Amino acid sequence: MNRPVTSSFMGMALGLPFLIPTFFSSNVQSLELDDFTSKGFARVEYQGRSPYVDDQDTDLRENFDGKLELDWSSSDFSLDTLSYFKYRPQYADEHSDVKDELEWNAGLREWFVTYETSSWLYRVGKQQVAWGKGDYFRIVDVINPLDLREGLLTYIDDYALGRQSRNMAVVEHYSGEIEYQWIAAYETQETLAAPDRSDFAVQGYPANIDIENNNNIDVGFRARFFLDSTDLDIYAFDGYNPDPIVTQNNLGQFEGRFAKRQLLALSFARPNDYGVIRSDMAYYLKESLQLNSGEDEISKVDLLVGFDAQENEWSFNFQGALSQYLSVSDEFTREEQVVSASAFIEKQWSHLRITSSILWLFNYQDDASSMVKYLVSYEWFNSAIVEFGVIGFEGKKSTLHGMYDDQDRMYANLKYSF
Amino acid sequence: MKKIYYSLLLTLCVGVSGFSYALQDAKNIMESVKYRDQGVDRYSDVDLIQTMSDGFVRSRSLKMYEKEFGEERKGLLYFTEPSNTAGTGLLMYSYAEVDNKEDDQWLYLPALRKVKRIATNSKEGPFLGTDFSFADIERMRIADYVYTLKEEKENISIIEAKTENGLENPRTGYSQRIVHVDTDKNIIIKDEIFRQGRLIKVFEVVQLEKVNGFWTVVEAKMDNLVEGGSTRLIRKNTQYNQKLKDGLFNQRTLRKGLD
Repeated sequence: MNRPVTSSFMGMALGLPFLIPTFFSSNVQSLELDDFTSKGFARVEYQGRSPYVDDQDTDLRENFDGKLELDWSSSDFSLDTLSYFKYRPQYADEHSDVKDELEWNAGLREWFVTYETSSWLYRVGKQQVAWGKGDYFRIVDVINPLDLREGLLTYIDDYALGRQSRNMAVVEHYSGEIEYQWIAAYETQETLAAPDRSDFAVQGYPANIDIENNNNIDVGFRARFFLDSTDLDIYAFDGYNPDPIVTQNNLGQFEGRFAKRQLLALSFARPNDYGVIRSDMAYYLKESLQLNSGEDEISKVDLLVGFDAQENEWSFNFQGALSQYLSVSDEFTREEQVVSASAFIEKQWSHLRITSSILWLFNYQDDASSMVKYLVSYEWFNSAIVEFGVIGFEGKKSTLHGMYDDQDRMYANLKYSF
Repeated sequence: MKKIYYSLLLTLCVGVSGFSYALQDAKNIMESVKYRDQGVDRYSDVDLIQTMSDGFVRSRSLKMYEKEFGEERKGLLYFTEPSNTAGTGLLMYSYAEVDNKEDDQWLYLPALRKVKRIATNSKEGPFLGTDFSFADIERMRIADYVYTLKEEKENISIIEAKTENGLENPRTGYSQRIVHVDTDKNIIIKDEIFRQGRLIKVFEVVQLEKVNGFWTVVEAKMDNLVEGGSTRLIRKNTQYNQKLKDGLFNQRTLRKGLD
């Protein structure tokens, strides 16, 4: 059953690189980028780690980051760029050299060229594509890998900064009430994990892994329908899992390789009398789990149901998700079912000048763990926002959130948008 | 006795029919406002300048596109200023009132890179923190209120719009409005808005202009009488019948922005 689906998507994807130059070359005369826009922000943040953990460095640490987006466009063409820099010293309890690996990051995170006709859109370059209706839990959002060097915090604060951009070609076709999207993404990028012994290092994950070079191509397809007030999306993906399967070679070195991932999925969102109900459902035809001996190729069913409501200045968002592994080998010792949940409540005051929110993320696999983030923000003056936040992790060291139990922290930042 | 009875009956009949006429007339005026000719499509640059009670001033700029599809209307708002909201887009479909169907709305948030479906059942919340609510910017629904013509002065008709049960309309959050309509132009020039019998907001047109042959509200103001402060809405570069493409009003445009 898998093969025809895979082959047809691969075929469509392989066709894309040949189609795109044809469209661009025929229209290159009209490339006059006469409309220019820019925007960005600069932010300074002070973080302090919880003093309630023994023998822990709790000094205040200063972070800086900034983003600059530059867009040029004409009637048909546009060129978009996004540059980002970040300075973030680590606590590095054991080895101070960890700081050097993370201190500075700067670069052009995204750049892409878009050409558009009335019913077609072509976009090539380093970019992001967000799939699915879920927040926080990426059941269908499989195109771009994550940057987990600060745990999930970056992803929660700013999805676009939490995802890694990658080189891809995207073609979209709009036909009446149906939108089609084809994606071909070149070269699998690994999920960026925090360096060993840094603040958000994953317990037991080897420090140095030799990841294979690859010429992998991920291909994806989405069709979006609008039927009787319901948004309905169907997805297919044939590519690779960005979390490498790690094995040890004869010399004792850790080697990583990317395993196949294939999925078929369905998402919907529909308003009702109380708010919006939404769901992501995915069947992973091929997925992989890490075993001590290497890879366990499995299949998987994921289901997410979410509900959003708005009442005056209050916003509510609740989600529950279940992941069931199928065809798992006996060597896999963890539970084959993962339960996740989230709750987000936000209140605005004084015409949006003050916002307060609380986010709770829960995970259960073998044991329960959770993360809570409380935030208050205040618009100090035009385009300048001051934020105060508290983040807490709870659970055993072996669990998703509990592994960061000693990383509870408070922070304050000032962000200026320009 | 019979004469008195008949004259009473006659008075009552005339009174009822007069009352009914006033009701009907008021409703007709409101329908004329709702369905006034605004062309097939229109575009405007809009500035929302909000002055809060403590003197804090916040400005937002957006591009507004609207197109009629028979009884349906599709609208697109795309924020350009300030930079922390630039790139945010709101897509709105409103349907024929006879269909009794809630609007459909989608919001694109650049930080998420995602189009989110948003609920439209409650529209009393502030629109982007301004003194306008989502209900104030949506297309008027005649069935929300029962209308009574209170006064007519030359070309101005003053109409009381009240919910049938006198309670707050669950969607708009308003229980009563006193609407001043310029019947020559079929435009609401003043709207006093009540909640639970208390005057909470006053909308007033500051400047009207004829653009491409259509009367256009160039500047309007919403005063917030509960929290103080006000929001000015200024419409610039308005153009009608620009043959906007149907394809402009979809989620793809929201994601990529409007160039």
